[in-house]
Amino acid sequence: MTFTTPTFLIFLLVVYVLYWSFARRGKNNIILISSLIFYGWWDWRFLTMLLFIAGIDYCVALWLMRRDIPWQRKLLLGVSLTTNLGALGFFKYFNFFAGELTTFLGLPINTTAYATILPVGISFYTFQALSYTIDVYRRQLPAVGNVVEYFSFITFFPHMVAGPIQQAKHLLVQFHQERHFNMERSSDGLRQMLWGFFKKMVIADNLAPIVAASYGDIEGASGRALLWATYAFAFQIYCDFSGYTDIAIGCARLFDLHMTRNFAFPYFARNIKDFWQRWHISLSTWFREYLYIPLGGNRYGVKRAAMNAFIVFVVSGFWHGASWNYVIWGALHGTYYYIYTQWIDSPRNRSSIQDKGVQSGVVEWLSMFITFQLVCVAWIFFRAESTHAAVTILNKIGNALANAEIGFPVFNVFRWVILLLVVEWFMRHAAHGLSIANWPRPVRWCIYYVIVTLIILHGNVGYTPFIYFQF
Amino acid sequence: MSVIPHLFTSNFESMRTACRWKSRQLRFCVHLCVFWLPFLVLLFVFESTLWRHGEIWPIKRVVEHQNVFPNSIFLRQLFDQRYSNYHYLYLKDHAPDVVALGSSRTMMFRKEMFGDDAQRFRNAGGSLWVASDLNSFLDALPNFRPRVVIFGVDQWWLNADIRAPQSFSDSMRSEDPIFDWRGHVTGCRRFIRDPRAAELLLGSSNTDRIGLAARFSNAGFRSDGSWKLGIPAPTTVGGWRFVDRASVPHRIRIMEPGDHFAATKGVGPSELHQIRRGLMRLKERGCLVVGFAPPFSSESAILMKTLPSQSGLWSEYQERIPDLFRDLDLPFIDASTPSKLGLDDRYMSDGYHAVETLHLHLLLRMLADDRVHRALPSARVAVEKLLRAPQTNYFYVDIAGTTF
Repeated sequence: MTFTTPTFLIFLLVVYVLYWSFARRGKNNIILISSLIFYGWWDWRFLTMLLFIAGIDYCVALWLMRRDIPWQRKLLLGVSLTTNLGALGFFKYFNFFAGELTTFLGLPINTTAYATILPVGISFYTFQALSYTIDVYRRQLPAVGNVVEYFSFITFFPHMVAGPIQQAKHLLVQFHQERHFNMERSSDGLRQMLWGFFKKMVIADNLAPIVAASYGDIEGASGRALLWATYAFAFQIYCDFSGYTDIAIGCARLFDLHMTRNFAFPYFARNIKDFWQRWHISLSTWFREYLYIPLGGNRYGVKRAAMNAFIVFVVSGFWHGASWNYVIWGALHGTYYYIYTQWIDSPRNRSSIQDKGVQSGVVEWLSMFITFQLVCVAWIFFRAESTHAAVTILNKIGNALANAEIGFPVFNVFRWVILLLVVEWFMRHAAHGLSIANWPRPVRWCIYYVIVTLIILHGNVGYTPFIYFQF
Repeated sequence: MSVIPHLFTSNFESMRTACRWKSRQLRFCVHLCVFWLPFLVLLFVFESTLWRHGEIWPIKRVVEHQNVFPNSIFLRQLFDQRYSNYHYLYLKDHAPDVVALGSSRTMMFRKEMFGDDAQRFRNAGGSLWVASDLNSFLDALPNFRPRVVIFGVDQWWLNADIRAPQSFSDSMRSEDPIFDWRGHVTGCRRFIRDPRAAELLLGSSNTDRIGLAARFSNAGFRSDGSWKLGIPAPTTVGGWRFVDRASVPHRIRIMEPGDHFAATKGVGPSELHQIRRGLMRLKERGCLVVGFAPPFSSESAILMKTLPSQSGLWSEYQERIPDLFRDLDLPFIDASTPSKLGLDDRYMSDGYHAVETLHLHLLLRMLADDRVHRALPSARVAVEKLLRAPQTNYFYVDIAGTTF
């Protein structure tokens, strides 16, 4: 049951009606039951595993509240870490490590016999559950005794499958509070969902075949085609993932639940540091909170901080998938970040830039352009089938650029990309692209009708899974 | 004493608050309904128009309607035709004595060509796409036991390297797009872009035309399963010349191998085995299978014979398929070009589809075989009568004094 099907819309309608018919406890029960149905619809086999992992964390947190002896607390935390990361490691990385080991040792092991199916959403709900137990361990959050509240937080269906990853101290506490229907919030939630549907169905799903045509036949594709396919992928993944997030956040708002922002118009970033404050914010926040700071953060100087950041980027790359491509993608961003923080963003450089007053519009546009190009280079590794393929793509693009063979291809879908950029530029200080609550109603409704019509006429209705479902 | 008014006040406040919430939610729902109303109205108009014209009738309903209205023709415009399912649903509930079976190149045999067997004839052409489809077809219809099966064997069925767009099994497994919301969205888009949309919205339905394409192009499947071509017959003698009417001319399709014309060295052994097995099963069911090689136009045949990507298959086919039928003691007619029937390209509608009149000649050639003549005793008289009919031309057969 993906978001872009009538089944989900009917499901949402039923859940919405039931939810607002009950008081707080009833609301949480409805959320929990509907979330279990939602997840079970994907694959009922992994529902048990989800409940088991979440159950372990629930018990661990309660025991942590009752234990003061450090080694016992560390042991309990270790149980939670082992369960969550163990499950994640097994389902996500077993095939990868088995394959690498087989190749390295030259052993005739048939790894396909042990090939595992990746449970939907495992990368997201394990991190979410870990955030809970770690916060309880750190005494930043009391353990929740109410089973329904806890499981509702873990399984909450809008963000279950592909985030945004919510910290317990933000989302879990909301299940304990009374929720009131608010027309303005619900309306804005629907607006955000509409914008998400537009980005996903009209832009991302129509860009997908363009990308697949070139990336699926690298030998046959020209450098020019690969260049534009890379740009297309940059917008495909952005619209796909941010579209999903918008739908998830908007959906949550219908239930008067607030989820943290996940994207802040990342392709308007002026530098790589800015980019990572705008892209997949929930994951960056999680890694900062639970990996970067424990590694030392920036407490030991700028160089050490940059190294810690590099490690986080590599781990983040590996989180995306069991492939060296993702690791290289993470390492590239880590390198960009290191270079930026060490040389470009250094206090000496910053002051000299300010002294010369070069923070002009041209420099700003140039910064955005360069940042976008750097991000696209990294996307090549993210999207390519293998490292060798990514290098081939880079070579071909390089040759095309050297020969100035970069004519703009005529793809209808690029007009929607331009529309997206224009709208998001004007809305860059707002929460999402359709934050028009203060506009006159006739104008708002005209815009809604235009967007719905565009979705009906141009939305790709074939089944194109959300990219981040595979993680 | 002061507690009771307080209780009364607080309960009243709670109720008022609850009512306020309920009215806000109601207002919100009303706004949503008002917003979606135009879309729902348009959806209703669209769907009712399609239903009125038979475009989204389930195939089962189409088959039942054609039983009641034998002059009706069926052809969808916005949705997939589901050829295989259409024939399957008919054959599942009926037991015709004479069946034409194969790809679209078998669709021109009509019931009127078979004399007394007319009412027991069914054309199931268009059901089969690849060699294995014959066996899949027989698996799906265990009670399929007609007296005679006229079986067109396409050359590309024996090509192990083709990428067929679909198969009988695919078609049987897949859902009718009219039951899939995606099919309706796609259909709606095509409908909006069709310049005749207004005519459809305002026009009345016609019991003899099921589907928008049947209505507009006057082409489609008749109640006997045969294909009615919607091309008007030329009115001048000079108008009778070969034109390849396919959207992509077949000489281009053959020269740029893809789909049916992937480059190959010769007949695939596995594919040949599939055909053999299927024929043996039909024999075991008591059917007389009359095979034939459907025709190519001269231009297409020359390409098939000479292009390195196809010539091996062409020459092997010419040898091995007749041999196969001979081994199984079944009649086979080589009609791989119109000239083999003493005809010419004027009897072709495109590079590899022949029209009704050629099939009449083909049937006559089949009836020259005693086995076929004994199985279809009244067909020869019917065929000869139709050939002599004044309105029969290169394309169309004069059925009851009418033709295009």
